[in-house]
Amino acid sequence: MRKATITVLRPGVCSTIQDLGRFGYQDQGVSPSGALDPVSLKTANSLVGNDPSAAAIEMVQVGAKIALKGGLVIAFAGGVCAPEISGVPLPMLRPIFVLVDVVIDIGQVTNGNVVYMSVRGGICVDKVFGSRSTHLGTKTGGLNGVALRVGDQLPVAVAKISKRDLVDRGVTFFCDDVGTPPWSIRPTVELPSELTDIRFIPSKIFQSLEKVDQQKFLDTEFVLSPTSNRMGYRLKGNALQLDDSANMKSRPVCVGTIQVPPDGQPIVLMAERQTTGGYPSVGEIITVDLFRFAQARVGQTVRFIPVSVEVAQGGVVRLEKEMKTLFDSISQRMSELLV
Amino acid sequence: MTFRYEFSPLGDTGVLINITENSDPATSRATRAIADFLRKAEQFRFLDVVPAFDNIAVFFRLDEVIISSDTSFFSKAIQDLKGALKSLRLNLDDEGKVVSLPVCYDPTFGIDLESIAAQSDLSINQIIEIHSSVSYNVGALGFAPGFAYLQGIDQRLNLPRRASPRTRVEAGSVAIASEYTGVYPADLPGGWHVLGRTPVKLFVAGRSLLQVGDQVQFQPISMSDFTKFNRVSTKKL
Repeated sequence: MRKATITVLRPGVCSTIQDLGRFGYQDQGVSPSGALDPVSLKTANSLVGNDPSAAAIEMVQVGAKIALKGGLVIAFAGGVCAPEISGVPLPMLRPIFVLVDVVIDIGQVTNGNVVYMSVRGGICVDKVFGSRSTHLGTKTGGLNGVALRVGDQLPVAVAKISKRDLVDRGVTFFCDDVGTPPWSIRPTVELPSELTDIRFIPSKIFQSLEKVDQQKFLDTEFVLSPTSNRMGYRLKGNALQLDDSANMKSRPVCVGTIQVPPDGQPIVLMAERQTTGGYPSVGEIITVDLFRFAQARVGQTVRFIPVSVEVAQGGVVRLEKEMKTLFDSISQRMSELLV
Repeated sequence: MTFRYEFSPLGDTGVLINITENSDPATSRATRAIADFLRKAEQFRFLDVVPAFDNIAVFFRLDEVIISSDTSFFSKAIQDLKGALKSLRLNLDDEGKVVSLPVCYDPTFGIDLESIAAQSDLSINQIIEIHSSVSYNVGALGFAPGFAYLQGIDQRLNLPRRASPRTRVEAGSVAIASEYTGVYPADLPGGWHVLGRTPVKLFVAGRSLLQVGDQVQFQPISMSDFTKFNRVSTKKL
């Protein structure tokens, strides 16, 4: 493989380089950051034969327009979009072989909130504290620690790809030199509908509330606010008044922690969360629902359902098994295509 | 040295350990020592161990969570943690260091000195005297890499956060809010009251200069010393 760069012609709303995040430094105040929807990131990586933790381009709400180089394999997973090359829309959820220099326009995410574009070999920016993830708040990692801008050049690796061999193996080419195999996978993240139930593990604080207040929280249909970002998704709904919400000592938090500040409007901590938080928390969204929640669009509503940590962990176990089975089968197909 | 712990889930891949009883008056030294023990413990291989005041969060690797699919991972994790902590013999004598941070309280750096004076009914000289005469305890790191929550602020300097935070506070700014004082390790948005600036770097090569359990004292220096100064003095407790 040979070094090359792809160029950002139009960045989109908030496009950043992300992998699965940086761990081992939270005790120093370093936020893990990473993909908002790690399942879709891993899926996109699997579809180009990458390690699940390879760096990809995360695009929120509106995707980028990028000048690609010939010799790349790319794929899209996550929120629904119709990336176009020369006006021809390309499918998501399968590898796309790009044999010549072309411009791809990812356009709007029409369902869900965030889409990942993977490139075979990954986006080769330098690692910072073991990860290529961008943390916008502290300008760490990714490409100069900021969202992609017009003119940015992203380092990738290109390979010699034989069109003849791919055609023999069932790949159909259109636009002359862009091709896809006849198979694709089913989406790995169920995108949220207008009203979505999200399961969470209730905290001691939640459990100590009066039953009528607990029920009020659980009955509320919270609306995702446009002030949401990679640090936290903000929800509007019935205000929940917690004691001491202005004065709690900072305590460690995790991704999916549901904080309730003094105004009673919950904030769910997402990828760029700080390592500790001073607002009280009613609990944490379970891992297997967090990917769906990350895909919620501004204006959509969510309701919270309390579950036990056992149910939550059962979900994690099942999800990992399903993903392993899927990625093994993708790997098998990819080895048939790219011998 | 006795400790009592309470365990609760922190999401489905973490556990929050609350130290409910601590016979050592220096809670932070114990929190740090216990966190260090857990971080190094080979039986666990935690992704992260995060101490903060009287809490320690531990984060499990996903492959550890899925291994024990038959039994409740959480109850097993608690059992394992209880067992490991029970047999823990802490040596608190060499935990922590004393850090003397040079601070220039010149009003060009201490942009909130006047408003602190107005709110606290103290003169600027009194504020500087009080702020620099206390030995603060590092209770937790958080907010940003290298940001330490320093406990022990004199009650006269206990002020609520600024009504509207600034979008940018200069790196090195020394500030106060409610019961804490702290130093902004980088240019960051912030709502604390700024009273001076230190030339010392708070986060270097992936490590915070200040760690949980350390003691910090602020040393007033002149503007000309600020520009010359590039070392911090530390001595072991």
